[in-house]
Amino acid sequence: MNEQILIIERLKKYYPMRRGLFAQEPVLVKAVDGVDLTIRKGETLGLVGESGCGKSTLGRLILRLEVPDEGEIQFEGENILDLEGDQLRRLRRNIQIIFQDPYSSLNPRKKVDFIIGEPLTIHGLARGKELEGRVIELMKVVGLRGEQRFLYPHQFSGGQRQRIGIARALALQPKLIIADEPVSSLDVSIQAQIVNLLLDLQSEFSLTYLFISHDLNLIEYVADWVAVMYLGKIMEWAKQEVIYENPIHPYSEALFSAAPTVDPLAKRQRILLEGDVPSPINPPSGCRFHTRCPLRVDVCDKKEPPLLERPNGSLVACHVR
Amino acid sequence: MIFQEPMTSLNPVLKVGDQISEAIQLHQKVSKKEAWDRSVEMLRLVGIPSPESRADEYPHQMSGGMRQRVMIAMALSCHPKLMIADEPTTALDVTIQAQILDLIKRLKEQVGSAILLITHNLGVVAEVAQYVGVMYAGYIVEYADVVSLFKGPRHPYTVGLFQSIPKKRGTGKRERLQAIPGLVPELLELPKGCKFQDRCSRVFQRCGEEAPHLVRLNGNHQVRCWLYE
Repeated sequence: MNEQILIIERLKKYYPMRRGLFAQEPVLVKAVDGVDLTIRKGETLGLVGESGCGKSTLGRLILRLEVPDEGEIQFEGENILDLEGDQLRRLRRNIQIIFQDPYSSLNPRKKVDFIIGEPLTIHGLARGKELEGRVIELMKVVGLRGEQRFLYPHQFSGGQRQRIGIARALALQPKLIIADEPVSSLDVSIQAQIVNLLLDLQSEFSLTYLFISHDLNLIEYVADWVAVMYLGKIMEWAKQEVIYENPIHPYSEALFSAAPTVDPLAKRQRILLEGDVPSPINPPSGCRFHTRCPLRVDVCDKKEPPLLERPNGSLVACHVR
Repeated sequence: MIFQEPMTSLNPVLKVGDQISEAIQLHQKVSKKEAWDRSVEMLRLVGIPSPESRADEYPHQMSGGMRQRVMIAMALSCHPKLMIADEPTTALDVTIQAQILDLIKRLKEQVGSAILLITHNLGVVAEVAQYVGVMYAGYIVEYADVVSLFKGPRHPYTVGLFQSIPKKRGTGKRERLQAIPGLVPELLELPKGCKFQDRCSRVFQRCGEEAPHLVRLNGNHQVRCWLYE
């Protein structure tokens, strides 16, 4: 077993939302509502769930782009929520993010050499000739040509832009990379190029990934561990091969059965969930999946199930299974 | 027509019942009351709970899946023979996507209209379609029934597409994805001859000289590639 690089405990993030002029109390959007997770060095944790379940907020909390309301985040044994100033800057060298949208996450008025070199400049790690050399090297690593460094982002295709974003994330030689839907805005034939690149980089630089995606086929391919999130909570967390073979939580089961497979002859038992995902403003009481759960029993709307280990090693939050 | 974006393709300041009624009244000689009743009936058909009250709501009061159902109800309201669905589930979550695909399949049986489904998601195709046309840079490059196409793709582009998506892995080791090299060409600067030649692994001289025709292989399987001429 590798050592744990990131430990998240009881993490909560609520966003206040003002409702109307005369509302007395602000309404809270419970984006992340008590999450426990760990990631081991050199491995990939795939985080799946439907839109608005809090996946991206969790990623931003780990980067300290957002400050949580409760809970703890430890990176390499250090509580990162206490960090300030220089210490925080050092943390950010170790944790970087790749964004979903390669169009809006690159400054359109800066040339590529500035974009990729900026992290090195900010952290005072390189300048002048040395900086130029590093930028060219980084561009080669992600499959771009060094001569292209004087171009602007709009002169690149979507896939190439995502490579620029990856080069920027790699510039500080981070240990943990949060990849927030890194390929979902790219064409299918380009997606494979970027996924291959991310996996090559992982083995070359022994990177740890938190891979956020709603694409279940992709997560099955890239992840070692998978965590299923629903309305701000982890419903199930298990090894990739275990959860895809044998999902235990009724939500994971329905989610995996709903993903279309590329086989017209596949006989599938699809579990159709009733209704829509409830709003995170007022999540259902007890187990927050109980409003759509085909297996619900009396206790489900009263008591919140804890995340407990099952005989096959999976951690599952469910009263019934 | 069913559009991709259920958020922007409905009129935000009209009740959904009125929007469906409008289509009905434009094409059929019925009273306003009758059109409204029929709208409610259509909403019931697409599986919206308590359609009488839902027809009185505005689009923003509904979720994405509900709005897509409203779009489908509107498209079906005049009993079309052909329905064009442009990425009908792309904007939706996986569990909602499953609901809508299920609905589209059920309605096809019930109403008996043909469907032209436009999508980039091969999984959705495998699930809903009987026949598949693969398009690249403005041309149909391969056409076949869904089983022949998925089990035996012939055009190098189709083959590449299938190789570039992650397969079921189980406990097995990760095989490297076979990416199609290069980029989709600009439609203004298409090469002479076959449009796929720059990215094709099996390109040969003729591909750069002449554009291939669609040739019939066996049964309904057709492909636009000089390898099969």
